[in-house]
Amino acid sequence: MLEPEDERLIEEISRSLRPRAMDGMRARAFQMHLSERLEKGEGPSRAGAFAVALAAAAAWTLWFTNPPSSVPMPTVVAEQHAPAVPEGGERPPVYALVERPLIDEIDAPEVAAEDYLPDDYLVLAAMFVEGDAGW
Amino acid sequence: MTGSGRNPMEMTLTAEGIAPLREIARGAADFPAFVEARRERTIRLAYRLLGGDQAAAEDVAQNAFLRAYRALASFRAESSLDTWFYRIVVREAERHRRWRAVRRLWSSDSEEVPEAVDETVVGDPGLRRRIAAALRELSPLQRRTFVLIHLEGFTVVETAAILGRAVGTVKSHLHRALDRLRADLADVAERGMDERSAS
Repeated sequence: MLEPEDERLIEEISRSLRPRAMDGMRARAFQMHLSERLEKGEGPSRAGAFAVALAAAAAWTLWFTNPPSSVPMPTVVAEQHAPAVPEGGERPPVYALVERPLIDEIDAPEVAAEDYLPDDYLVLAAMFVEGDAGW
Repeated sequence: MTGSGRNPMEMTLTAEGIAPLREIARGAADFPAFVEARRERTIRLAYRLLGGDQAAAEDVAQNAFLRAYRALASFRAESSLDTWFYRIVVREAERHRRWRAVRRLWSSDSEEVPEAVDETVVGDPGLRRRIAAALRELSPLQRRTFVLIHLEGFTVVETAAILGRAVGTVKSHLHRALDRLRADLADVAERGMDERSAS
């Protein structure tokens, strides 16, 4: 049960955070645009998806070849101050660098995998964006 | 994509037209009606999840409808059509947020660019910006639970289904979200009360 102050706060947030109402013309334009995209067989963010995937792969390769000093690499045993890349040349597994909840969120069981094709960038993004408060 | 080369937005449920739309027919008469019935709420939900960006909200809504149409074949009716669809909307909004974060990161190294708040929407843009900032400070799950339950009127159970989380998890995130917003926006509720009593 909400306190009266909480109800007022929620009401105020709800009132302030309301999009512009769509008039008939804008609604028709929205519908027409959607119709055109469906007709073309266009997927969300299909345009440029290949380029993005390519760029992500290139950036990833570059990052692994020459990791920036500002991004901490995980250590195997903290007390031993193990080097990020052991002398044997063995690198830490990729998944160790990616936030687990992010991986979970990518998983979309009810949506076909190909619908979420350009996900490489998410993994890439996870390496650069610290925390998720701003997301 | 439609299987028959016809535009799904022009299709209705006739005996001939049932096949390409049979999955969606469980919950809606046809695709335009499906869109029409959910358009406003979808845009509003995306707008709120994105902290007040009209253009982005409309983009997210378009993409969500496209994804929904393309994924209809995989809809197994394990959840309601609405739960399934709004899950897509929430994911699409988060996807947009991430893209925006990545773009910001690549375009300006350390410069903090405030997220877009539509100045043309009626109301106080300053207040909207503050509210958007407060929502941005919440964790993604706190933000989603707060928006879905308190702003969009979904029940806790529906929200848990949309987010794919346990009911208890949703409740605790909702509680924390409200605590945090109460602290960040303490004056907003008072202001609302003053305005109402003045009018």
